[in-house]
Amino acid sequence: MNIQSEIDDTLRRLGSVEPPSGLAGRVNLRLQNPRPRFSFSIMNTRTIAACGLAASVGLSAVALNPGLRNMVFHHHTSAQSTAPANTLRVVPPAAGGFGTASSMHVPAEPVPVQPSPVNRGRGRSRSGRAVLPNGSQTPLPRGVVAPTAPLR
Amino acid sequence: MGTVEGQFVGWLETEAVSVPEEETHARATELVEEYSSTLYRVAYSVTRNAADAEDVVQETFLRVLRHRNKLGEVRDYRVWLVRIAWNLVLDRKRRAKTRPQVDDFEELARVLPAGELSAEKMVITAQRHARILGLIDTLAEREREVLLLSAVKELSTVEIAQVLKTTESTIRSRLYRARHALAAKMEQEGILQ
Repeated sequence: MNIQSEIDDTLRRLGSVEPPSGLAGRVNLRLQNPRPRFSFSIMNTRTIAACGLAASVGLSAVALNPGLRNMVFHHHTSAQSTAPANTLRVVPPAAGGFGTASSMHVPAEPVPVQPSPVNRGRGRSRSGRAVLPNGSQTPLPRGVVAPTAPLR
Repeated sequence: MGTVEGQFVGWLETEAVSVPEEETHARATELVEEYSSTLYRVAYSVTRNAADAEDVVQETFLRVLRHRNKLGEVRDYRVWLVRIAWNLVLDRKRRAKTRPQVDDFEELARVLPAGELSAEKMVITAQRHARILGLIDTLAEREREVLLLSAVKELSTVEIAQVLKTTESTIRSRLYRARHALAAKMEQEGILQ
């Protein structure tokens, strides 16, 4: 058998495949009961668009109007005023401005910083590495310490 | 009508001749009886999988039913249906991004008509056919498509040209190139040795 006749034979067999029995009946059954397809309703589209527009307008109003923004962040500021003095504070954004610059604030009082457990060198070993002196395992406090009495 | 497609169909129905629902269903049933085997062969030539080919046939007739208002405008139902099925099966193959399972020799031996061959020869022949089909899949897209459609016994060269929206001479030229390239690949693989 040569190559061309082998190609013919292969194609003839491929093109003569008999469909499984009852194919037409199954197709007709499917045509009578087509599965429900996904439908994208115009009404749904309008509703979704309206809701999205309303949400974006509301968020823009909150972001741009200082009065509304204060109302939104009121709960956070009152909660912070009762926080213990020894913890780090999250400063709310200022009433004016918009963006990153408006969130830069200097706290009214010094913020204490927890001492770092990192070893700090007081000398050098023979190998040149920094070591702590004997009996002094506690590192010195770091950062700014708030005065206990008001300054005069 | 609330849905987009419903409105689209409604708009089409005002343009086309209104056909009663029972009549379109009866026509669709006739088309299924007449062309489902042809469409199955067209789909099987690409998928090489019985279940997938049947799915394509069903999807083809669902498309027909969806655009039933166009039934009166169709001149050649065979070409029209084969084109729908062909586009569906190519789209399915593109999405699946998997090669046909040509290594399933038992399936091929069961599905492909074997004639009077013995069981042993049937398996050997199926293996050889599977290798050739694998080589067909490596041909260039245009040549491969023409070769596979030419395998479907019900389709003439003119009809293949209509399905692929090209001329008959182009089909003949592609067919010649496809067979030539396939023969070269078979020689290179030593299939007949």
